Amino acid sequence: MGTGRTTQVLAGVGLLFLLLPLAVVVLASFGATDYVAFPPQGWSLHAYADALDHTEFRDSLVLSLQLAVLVAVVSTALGTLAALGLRILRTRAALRLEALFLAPLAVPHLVLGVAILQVIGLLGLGVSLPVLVAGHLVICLPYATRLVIAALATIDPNAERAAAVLGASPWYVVRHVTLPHARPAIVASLFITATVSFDDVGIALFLANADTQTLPVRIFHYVEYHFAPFIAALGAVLIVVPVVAAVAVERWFGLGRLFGLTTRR
Amino acid sequence: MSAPEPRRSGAVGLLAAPVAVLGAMLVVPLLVIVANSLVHGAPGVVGGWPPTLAVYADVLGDPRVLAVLGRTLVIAAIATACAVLVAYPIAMVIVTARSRAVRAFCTIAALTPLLVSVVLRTFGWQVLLGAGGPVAAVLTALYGPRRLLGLIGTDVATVIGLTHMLVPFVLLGLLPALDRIDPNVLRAADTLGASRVRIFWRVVVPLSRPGLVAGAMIGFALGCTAYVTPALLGGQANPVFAALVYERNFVAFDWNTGAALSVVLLAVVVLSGVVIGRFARWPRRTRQRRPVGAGTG
Repeated sequence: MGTGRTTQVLAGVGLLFLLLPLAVVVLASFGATDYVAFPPQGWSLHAYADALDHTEFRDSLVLSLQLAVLVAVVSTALGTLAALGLRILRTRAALRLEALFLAPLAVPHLVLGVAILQVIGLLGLGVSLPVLVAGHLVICLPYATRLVIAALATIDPNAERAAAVLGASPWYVVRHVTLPHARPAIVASLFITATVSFDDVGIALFLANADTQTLPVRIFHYVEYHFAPFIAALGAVLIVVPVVAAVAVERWFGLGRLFGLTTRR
Repeated sequence: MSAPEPRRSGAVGLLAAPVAVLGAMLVVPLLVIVANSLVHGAPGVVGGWPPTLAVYADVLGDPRVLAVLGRTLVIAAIATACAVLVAYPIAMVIVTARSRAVRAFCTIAALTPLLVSVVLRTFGWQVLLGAGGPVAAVLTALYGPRRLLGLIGTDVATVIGLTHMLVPFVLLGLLPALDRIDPNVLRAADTLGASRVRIFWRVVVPLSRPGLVAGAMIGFALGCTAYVTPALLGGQANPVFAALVYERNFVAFDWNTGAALSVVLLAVVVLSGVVIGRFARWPRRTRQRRPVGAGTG
């Protein structure tokens, strides 16, 4: 049984609603006016040239990219370690630990940001890139851990036992039997954690000073009071790049598993 | 049987680093704000003894704080309800689509907003709802120049922006639940003559309720802790609770009050989860108490 016409129309309207503000940013970035207008009046690339002239935004972009790469690599490594460890334990304690690894999802980013800020203050430390990395590790770990746990759950333990019986050392089994199964999940995790880190404002907002303003934080503070076409140009790039990357990762490795949709693939 | 498996000590070694990160950056910070919230000191002063609930008394005795909290909860509830209404038809189409291409397109389109920073999504709504946008043009034509800013600075804009932010999260709850419904159950209801509306309310909604509850919990939690979207769309004159938290910590540097407000927000999120979970179970319980055979017809 399919869905009725009414449902399909409502779904279409809903998808339009979801994509509308993104499409608006991309279209507005090509406008010719020196203020943001929608629908755009005339077409021009001046907003893009303007964006290149804002060096403080370029610095923030570089910072955000460094942060995203570091966080993606470290959180995926830690998530993989955690998934392997939990798989070996297989006890009630392991289940409780697994809940701890998903716990950051339940803590509002705002609260976590305040809390980390107050710890930094208590220790008399300043805000720096390592602090930002550590803060983002917490919000990214649940995604990494969950993805790798899901991938490892599909391995037949007999394959590992067979390798061990045939004389492979535990490390050799992990390296050549267990981890290859997790490779698609590891790639998906690198992508998701990089995206979460790059897009985050909730935590980065509290850990920002003049030198540690990530791009979303800088854009947020700018659009709080100003409105300029070059923001739309930046936005258009930041919308198109991850979407294209997501389609590519989905093609090659499948992101669907993260969303619990493996059954009908 | 466990002879070939790596030993426990290996597992402890593997788990040490990730657990240490969570301890240092999640558990310790949360304990620190609880500790800071129990100190009644001057702004900027950290630590103190003995613990006191004076800050909580100040915070929860302030009618302005309570009014903002109430408004925040109402806005989050409306936005969550709207997000559920938007998400259900999309989820139904994704799960029941016969063509694989339709399903893939709808899934990617529906989850695309998750890939884009909430700042940019909100910027899109600023363009649409604010000065120079189509909504402002219509409103100015209808009500004159006092509507030049469109809907920016109103709670309506905040609700629209939050709804947009929450739909993908509600979908992530709904999709797996709808995916698990046996299509034969729907076919059976159809064969037995139930209308589509009736099938939706009597079969689809009850069977997908766990996913609906999970989605609504996440949506409401995100809705009442959101800072960026209300700040940009609702404006400074209309603060939500998250704006109070930000202002106390970052503008006033009153860390004790800032910590107490954060703890209150965390408590509200946890409590709302419990309440939504309870509320969702109740109709099923009453139905079970009905005597067998009653209510047929």
